[in-house]
Amino acid sequence: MLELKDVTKIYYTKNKAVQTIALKNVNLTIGKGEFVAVTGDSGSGKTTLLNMLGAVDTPTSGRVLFQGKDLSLLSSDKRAEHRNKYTGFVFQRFYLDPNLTVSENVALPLTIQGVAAAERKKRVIELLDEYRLSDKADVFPDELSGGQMQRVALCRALVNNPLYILADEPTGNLDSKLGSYIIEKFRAIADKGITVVMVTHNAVHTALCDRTVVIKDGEV
Amino acid sequence: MKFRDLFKIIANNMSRTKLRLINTTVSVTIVLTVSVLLISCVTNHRNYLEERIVNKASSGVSYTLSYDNPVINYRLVQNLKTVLSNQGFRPEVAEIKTTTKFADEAVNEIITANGYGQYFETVLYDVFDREIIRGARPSGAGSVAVTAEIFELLSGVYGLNLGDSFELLLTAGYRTVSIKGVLDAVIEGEKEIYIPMSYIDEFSISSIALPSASVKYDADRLKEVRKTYNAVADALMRENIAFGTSMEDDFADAGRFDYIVIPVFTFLILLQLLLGVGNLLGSALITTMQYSAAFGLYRLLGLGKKHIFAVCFFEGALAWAVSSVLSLAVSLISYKPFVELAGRTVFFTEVYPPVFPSGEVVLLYVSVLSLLAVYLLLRMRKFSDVKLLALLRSEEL
Repeated sequence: MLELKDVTKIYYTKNKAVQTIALKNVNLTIGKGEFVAVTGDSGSGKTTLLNMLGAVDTPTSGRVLFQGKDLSLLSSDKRAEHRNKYTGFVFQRFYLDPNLTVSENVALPLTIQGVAAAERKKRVIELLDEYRLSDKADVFPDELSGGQMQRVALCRALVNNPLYILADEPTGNLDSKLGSYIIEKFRAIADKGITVVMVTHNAVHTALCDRTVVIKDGEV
Repeated sequence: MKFRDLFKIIANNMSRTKLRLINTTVSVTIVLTVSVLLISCVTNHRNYLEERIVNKASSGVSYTLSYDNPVINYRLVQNLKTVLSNQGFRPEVAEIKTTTKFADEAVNEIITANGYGQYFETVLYDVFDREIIRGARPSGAGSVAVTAEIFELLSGVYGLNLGDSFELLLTAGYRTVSIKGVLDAVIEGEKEIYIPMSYIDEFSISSIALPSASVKYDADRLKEVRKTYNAVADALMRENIAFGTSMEDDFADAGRFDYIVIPVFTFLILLQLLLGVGNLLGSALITTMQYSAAFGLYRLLGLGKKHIFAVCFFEGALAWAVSSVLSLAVSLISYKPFVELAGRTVFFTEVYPPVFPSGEVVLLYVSVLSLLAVYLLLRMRKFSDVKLLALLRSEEL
């Protein structure tokens, strides 16, 4: 479903000098429903890899294919549309909008998609129920614990029924118990056929994944 | 995304964002500060002028309200007298002398002496109410006075001597009146000469009267001086007649007031408008900063550039509109006393009624807004993905 072909990503300085080679000729194929762990040292290119897969960024060279379609050829707005329709994101720092309630945060992808309010509400309620957050629907993120915030982020990642989820160290700010809970949820999500690509440093968590991709100095 | 949903979200952001509050506070403060400074400036000047008037009056010297409008009619004079009378000025307290003055700008006075056909400026005094004037004339009924300077002209330039006859051609607006007279006498000390009134019977007051009113106050009526001064001014303002005080001697520079304050005021109004525009720019920038993280997130989740641009512009425009309206309101509030003040203290024919807003201001506004729109377009063009990546590397949302 997802494929990187000879992907190289180079970050340049303002005067066009090479600053960092984040990815070097990376080739990677990820199948539907696969739960893939991406590991590597800090600065090795894990997040850049995730950005490529999520159509957040484009490669300097090479191709990023989603169901055979080259995402790197899409315009910025088309890539945004792609993210909205097919992708879910979960981050270590949750990235919830502090000015929106839990339900509004969860509904954001659908709101951006232009889904009707009633339909959004229905979908949000389902997810909040599933993740035991129903009583937090109308509170703001700053009233939540770290585990609750990450569950909200997970709900948001799932609300648009994505084909794949990209998680960047989703358990980094959680204790081991909550971390395990989140990983188990990812496992369950993958078992339902949704691809999950997760950056992690935790060996215990990688054990629950179908496979582990190790990146070192931008190379897989 | 539906704009309604987006604006709803942004409204949530705005209501909970300290930056918005700070920005608004700063804007309002700037506008109010400038306005207060402006009002203070005008008020101080007004007090200064009034003080001078009072001081002048305290010395027992009369001052003159000069009407520059050639179509002022007899009714106005009656109004003036009524106003003064209503203020409690009795003849024994306040002597009311009324004379006719043809102001330079309103009337071209053509004074032809002995057929020489020469022009010179000012001044023919005459009555607009013969009964009063005759009673007030030191030389008695039937005289008209010219100043010593005029006499010097008459005698020096035209060679007139006492007892010589002459003819004055007065052009007031569309009408020219011929007045024939004889140089009659000079009263030493007063430096005036008097021309027998019997020669100017054909002078038609009701149709051509262009008066200036000289109101003389006693020194012990200082409070009433200001009171009456304002009352007279109000009466004339109600008549929608531009006017001002014309002072001799140290009041001569009062007429410069308009040349200084009006441009300054205009500049300050423009400044306030620019502040409004600046606020739009600032708001747009702050909005961009403020929502960078949030928009980065929204962008990540699929929000299109047009939405981001629209919200930034809408929010900036909203802030601009509010601050501009506020600025304009305060400007106009401060403009009113300014106009009244100027109307009472200076020759103000060309400036009153207010000339604001002018086409130039509108043009300036449109130009700046156009530049701003271009700027926003360029900025928004760069915004989304750069900010999105920054978000992913940032420490906080």
